[in-house]
Amino acid sequence: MTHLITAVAGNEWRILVRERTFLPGAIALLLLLLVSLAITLERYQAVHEKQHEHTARADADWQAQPDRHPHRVVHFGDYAFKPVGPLAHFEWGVEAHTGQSIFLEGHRQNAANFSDASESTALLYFGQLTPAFVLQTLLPLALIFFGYGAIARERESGLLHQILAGSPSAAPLLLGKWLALAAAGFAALLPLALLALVAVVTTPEHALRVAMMLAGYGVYVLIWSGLIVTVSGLARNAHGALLGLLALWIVLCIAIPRVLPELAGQRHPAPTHVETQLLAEAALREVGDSHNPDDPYFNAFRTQTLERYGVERVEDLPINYGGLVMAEGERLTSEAYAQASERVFGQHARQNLWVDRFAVVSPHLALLQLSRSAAGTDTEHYIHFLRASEARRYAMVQALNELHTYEIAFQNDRDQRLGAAAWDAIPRPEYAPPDARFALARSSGALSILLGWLLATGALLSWLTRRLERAHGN
Amino acid sequence: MATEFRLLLRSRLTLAGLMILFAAAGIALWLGHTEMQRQHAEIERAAALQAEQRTHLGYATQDDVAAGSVGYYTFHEVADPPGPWSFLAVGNRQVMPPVQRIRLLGLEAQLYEGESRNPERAVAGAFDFAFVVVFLLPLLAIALAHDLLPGERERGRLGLLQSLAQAERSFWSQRLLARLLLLFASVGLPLIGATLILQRPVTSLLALLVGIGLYTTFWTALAGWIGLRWRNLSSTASAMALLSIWVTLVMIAPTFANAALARSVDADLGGEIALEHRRKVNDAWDLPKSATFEPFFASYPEWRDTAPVTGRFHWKWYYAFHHVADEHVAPKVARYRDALAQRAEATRMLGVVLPSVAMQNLFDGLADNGIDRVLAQRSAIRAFHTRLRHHFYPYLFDDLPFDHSAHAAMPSFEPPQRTPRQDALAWIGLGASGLLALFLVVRSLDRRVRRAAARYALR
Repeated sequence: MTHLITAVAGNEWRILVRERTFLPGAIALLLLLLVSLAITLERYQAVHEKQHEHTARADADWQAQPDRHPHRVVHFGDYAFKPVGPLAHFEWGVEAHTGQSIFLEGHRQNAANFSDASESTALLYFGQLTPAFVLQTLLPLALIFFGYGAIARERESGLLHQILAGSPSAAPLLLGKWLALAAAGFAALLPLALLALVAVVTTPEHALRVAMMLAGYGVYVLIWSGLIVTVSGLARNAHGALLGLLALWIVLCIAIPRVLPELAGQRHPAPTHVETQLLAEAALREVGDSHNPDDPYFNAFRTQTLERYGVERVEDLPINYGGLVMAEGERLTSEAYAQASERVFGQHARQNLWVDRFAVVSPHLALLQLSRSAAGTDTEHYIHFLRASEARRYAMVQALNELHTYEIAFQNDRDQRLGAAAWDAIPRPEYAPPDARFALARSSGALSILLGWLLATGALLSWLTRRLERAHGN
Repeated sequence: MATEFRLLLRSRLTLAGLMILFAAAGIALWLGHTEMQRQHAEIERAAALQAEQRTHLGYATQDDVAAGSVGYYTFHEVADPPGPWSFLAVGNRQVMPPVQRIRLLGLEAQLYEGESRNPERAVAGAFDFAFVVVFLLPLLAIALAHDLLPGERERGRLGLLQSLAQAERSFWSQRLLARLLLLFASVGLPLIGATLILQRPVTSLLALLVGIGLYTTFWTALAGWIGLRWRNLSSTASAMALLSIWVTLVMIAPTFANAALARSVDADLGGEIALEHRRKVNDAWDLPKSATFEPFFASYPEWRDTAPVTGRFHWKWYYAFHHVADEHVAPKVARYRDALAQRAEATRMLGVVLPSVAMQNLFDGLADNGIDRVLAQRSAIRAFHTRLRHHFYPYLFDDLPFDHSAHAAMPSFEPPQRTPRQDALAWIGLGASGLLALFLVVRSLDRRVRRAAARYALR
């Protein structure tokens, strides 16, 4: 049986490559893959270099600071840059639509800015030419062109009846055709596999991510090849098969991936950045205002502090009360801003969860999620960066407030300065992207949807097998 | 013609395809409209919250407060409300903030604040009316017209048709025209409906309908031409050829052009502007006051003779060095703006050769959500910030108390007027592509007619 299947597959493969559409289609696909890879590599390089330059400049600016009051440094602030992950070569994901840098300063939480999308013209609405786009969207189309006639044409020519009437089962024929078509798809995945190999060798920590991606794309090719053979077997003629498959491609790869996120956005609207800030500031007004001398919250804070140190006046404290108030104020504002931005992140997560659930209706959508999540270029990874930046901002500001509290005297507070060496001790951790486990939940969910589709495709094919056997008198 | 319509609509598949296009157009219009309504509501909510904050600050009723404090703590919301046609093509509105906040501090550190939208939603692209027309309408045109002639031949009716049809040319052109009109109606009727319900100006609608008509003509004529031109082409080969053209025109060429544009017109200046501005502002704290006032008074000599700043801090010094930082990055800001404008211009040029881009540009010009709008909004904010500074300067430099009348007289932001831009290059692209496809069809038909006449003469 297996021998028969491989024999049929080999034969089908020879027929496939002799097909008039195969050579131009394969060449076009290969060219597109190469061009898209060149484009993303170059963009990656450019972003990487620019970021390197900006990081170096921000570092130099930080180190070149003169003797200053620590609170001046709180306002001087720092920059966090979002590095582009190594798998972004292949899957650019949301990179173009997210800001690349955040200004970290005291009292405020800024949004990331200068995304490529904010600097792009209407051309961006046509999508982006990346290797992932070629494999996710154009590869199925190429497979349709190669395989729509797989069975339909043999039926038209009457050959199908001859083949099936003379063989005990239709299964080897269908499986052979499936495998031959899938082999063409796998050939298109070769560049990805090569890239994967390079990634695994140079950065072994990405092995799991790469494996997830490869598995996802492999299953995706099997799904489409199976669907193509099925529709080709069901259609009355090759023309009908082609039109049916094209309609399927339009729905699964073009329409659904656009409509669902739109509906999700309407279902779970997220507030704007300005609204988030204003709500946080309103919440803060309820707690206390460190600038107001009669504020009840800070009056209580002062009483507590004085009791703790057993003194009567703030002037008698062994530390700088001004620094303590700054630290307490920062704690309050950060809490309020964090709560507000967590609400936004929550809405984004809800939107994506809603779309993820509906990925059951389109293997293309499931592959998008898997690919972006595994490559580290989805919303989840972006939010991880935003949270890490906020943590870094908070640590920086509080470290400076600590210097303010312990190294600056209360009297003539504003006229004092600290030596520039003090800024070296402030934490400025570079962003560390999360490891593969972070991506596992979302990408394995998407992978199981793809495997479900594969099972369904197998079931369809076996149903088709029985149907063909019945129709051709076995 | 009437017979042709009946024949077409009797096919259940054709009817289903047209209904889907009709429904997609309607849904896209509705989604675009609700998105714009939502942005209006977002702007209103922000304005209400901002007003509440101003009330809480209480400066409006105080007469003895320092102008510097008012400038520091008072935020002004600057909104970019959607225009009358914004619902057609969502464009940059997916990533740009509908409302920002500006205060008296250095503008360049505030102007480029991003928006916290879900990037996965933005990267999927909007399902707006422009998408339905640019992407989906051609697909249905291909579906309806690719097998016009090949299909008849494969069904073995071509010979019969040729002998029956007295004037072959009018026969085929009527069949093409019927398809074109049905396609056009499927997207045109929802658009007309939306325009009437939302009471938008009819002249813009008419222009847009002409543009959509040209685009529909291009695709329908192209789909018909392929079958007429290559006589032995099978309907499947015709479908594949047309779909390859579609993929090239709406997916590969524009995305490739976008990548090329990102490479050739370097706009990576945002980060530099931000870094330089911050350094300039912060350095000023540690420099002698003259380092700020000299360049400032060069721009504003009218305040040179006011009282000099001798203490550690004075608000007028603070706002002066913020302005000096703005002036310092001005050349870079101009380069950044020019680069973006250059990209917009290059995209318009591309419309001459790519009908898909021309159609998108036509929508973009009317919807006014593109890079041009972003630049117009930024210059309006810049002008507003200048008015705000000029309002504050007398109070800052002459040390006048910022009383309630000064507060009431603070300028407020008005979004820039929208003047529908006529994108001549898009019209050239749409007109040329539509006419070219028509010309090709007519020429092929002429050849068929001549050949038929020759056959007849032979007999």
